[in-house]
Amino acid sequence: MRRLIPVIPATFVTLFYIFPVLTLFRRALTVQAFRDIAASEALANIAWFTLWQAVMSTVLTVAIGIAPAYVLARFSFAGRRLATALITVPFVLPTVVVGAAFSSIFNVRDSVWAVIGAHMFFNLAVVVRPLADAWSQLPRQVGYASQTLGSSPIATMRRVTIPLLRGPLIASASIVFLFSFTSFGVARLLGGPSHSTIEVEVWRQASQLGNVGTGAALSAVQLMVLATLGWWSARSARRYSPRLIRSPIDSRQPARSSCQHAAVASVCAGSIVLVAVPIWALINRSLRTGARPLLAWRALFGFNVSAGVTPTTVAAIQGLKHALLNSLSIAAAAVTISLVVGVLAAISIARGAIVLDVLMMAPLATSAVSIGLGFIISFDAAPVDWRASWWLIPIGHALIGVPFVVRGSLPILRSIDPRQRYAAATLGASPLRVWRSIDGHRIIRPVITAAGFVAIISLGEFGAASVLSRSSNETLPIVLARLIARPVPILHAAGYAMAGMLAIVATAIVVGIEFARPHPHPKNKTHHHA
Amino acid sequence: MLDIVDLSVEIAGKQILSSLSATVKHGEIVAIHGPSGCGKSTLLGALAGFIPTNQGAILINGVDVSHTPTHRRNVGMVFQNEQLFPHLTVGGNVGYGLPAGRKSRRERHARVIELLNLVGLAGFQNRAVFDLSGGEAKRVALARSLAPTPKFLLLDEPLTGLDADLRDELGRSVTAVLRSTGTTALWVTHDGAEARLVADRVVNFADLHKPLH
Repeated sequence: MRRLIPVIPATFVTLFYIFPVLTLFRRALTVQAFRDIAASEALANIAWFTLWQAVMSTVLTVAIGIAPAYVLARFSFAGRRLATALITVPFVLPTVVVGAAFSSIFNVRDSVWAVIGAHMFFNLAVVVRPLADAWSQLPRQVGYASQTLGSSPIATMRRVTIPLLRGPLIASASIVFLFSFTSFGVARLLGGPSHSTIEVEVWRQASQLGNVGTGAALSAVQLMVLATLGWWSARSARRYSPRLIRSPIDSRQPARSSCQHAAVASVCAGSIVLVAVPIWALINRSLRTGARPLLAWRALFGFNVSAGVTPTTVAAIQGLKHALLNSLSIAAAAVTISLVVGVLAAISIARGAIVLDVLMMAPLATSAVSIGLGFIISFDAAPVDWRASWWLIPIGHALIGVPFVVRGSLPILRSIDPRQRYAAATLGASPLRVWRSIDGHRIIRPVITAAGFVAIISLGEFGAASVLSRSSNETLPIVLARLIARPVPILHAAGYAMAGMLAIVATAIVVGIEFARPHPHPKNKTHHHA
Repeated sequence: MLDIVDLSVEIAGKQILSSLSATVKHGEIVAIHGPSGCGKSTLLGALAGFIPTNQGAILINGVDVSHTPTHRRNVGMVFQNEQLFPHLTVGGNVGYGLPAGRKSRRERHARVIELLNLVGLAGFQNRAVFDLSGGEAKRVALARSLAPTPKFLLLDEPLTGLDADLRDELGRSVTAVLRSTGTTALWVTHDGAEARLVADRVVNFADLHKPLH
């Protein structure tokens, strides 16, 4: 029985990740395909734009993330957890929702700055959270030591703090680059045809033009770039990780000077604005239906709105509700698969299956469209002719969800003293009861947290679903993107109303998860020098 | 000379230090002795400038530095857990406080070698700080704090965590270094024996509430 545990996650990742990726490479790695890519000026421009915007997005996101990370790491204040949760919200908002909100607030489309701004909005938490976590564990005395040696606070930041935080900074910047480089939803919705990324081009070539070979070759090039980045990032993180000194006590203190109070107030206000403004913009746009501002909401909730509304429009709104139900079923399936596979993988990795750890994380570094395209070209012939199967979408979402479950539960499983299990066994507990009573109840909280994240990610996922969904099983983001692009005011408004509701649900889930987490320093709220 | 006059510190509405006064003469090593948690480290933080004071004055050679930022006070400090910079070598740590603008590379290197010799760590300049023993790390911290020639030096329980033999040996050797460099020093400790071993004068923390001469 014990030996069977790694078989399920290993089979899952082999069948649904390694096999499709290898098939993608096999199909793509032809001299002709690469010759076509190299000869195309349009593709060269797309590659250059993808790289350029990803570098800009990364640099700017890191630049704006350092100040809030410092405030969250160094100061204790009422509302710190709420501010942390609110900064996290954009990361889980569906790309379609963010695209809609950005185009509504700034009234921009086909703009490179809209694309970069949306990437910064999405990825702020990717920089702020790990950086604040690492920074809070850096003893304040290290900075004081530098200042007693004559370095000003700014010189201390440059000579000591930033070098000591280089490991988490490189890791965060790599993830922001990865997400920006593989941007699909944002680039498609805000960038327009003139600002297309490689990911959008993969989708366009494979799904719109039917050039699966070119799409696969582009996808393979992208995977190689990301693999190189992943290797460099892991190497750098290993190289710099010993630099981080970890303090066992919480180094947060209340703000003292007026400057510090202003910094705390700015982060609190900024985090509220970050979430409230997009939601307000979506709701505001949903009310622009002429003399009857609640028309779209009434239609969504099934009230009779027949006066002045065509049956086609009513049917389109019904389609939105159908897509919501479909997305909810897909999310439920994705959560179930992620939990089963993720927990079994975490147990196996905690027992020493290191290879499985690397394999389970790999889908995170693979773009969603590539995963979808890999499915399409791999599962197209018997005995694996599954292209039309509805469950391929939740499988694709679970590939991205499993790493969240593994990363959430693995540290806890590793921290359990094995002698506790031996003690339970000597008291007569069966292996299942030993697991349930020693391991199971401890990982329940991180597993529920991961389930929440997987559910939101699945509900908003746009890339893989764009490739895999059929007209009979379209997901909510696909339908939303189509409605928002249509020039019918009530459909437009209904799309914004649904996007607003999704944003509110995502915010509620993230805030709930943040407050359900145990406080990392329950007895050490403040460290004074007394 | 260091004069602490009627010094008070309040943190988050709580009075941590109340009306403390003390004087340390030029070249003198004074040990302040008191139990853990009585406010010794807060006093050093206030003297170094990273804990703001609410009342009173800190005079160095007659100049009030109570509102001068830490990096402009020219007050050295040896921390309880050394706080060596882990991304720099031993030489990089010792040379950290030597201003690149005012001294040439060769002069800075010579000063690092001189200080490492002084603390008995000749040849250690290229070592990683992770490879040092507890006693070696404390010697590096002392050399680093002396490098910019501070007007006076604060030592916050610098021998904590060492076994008794090493503590006595290091205590004598640190005191010898401070005397040979003529450094004015304020040494805080909870250990009465350590205070008597290292200081010219031992002051009980509770006695700081009345003027000292």
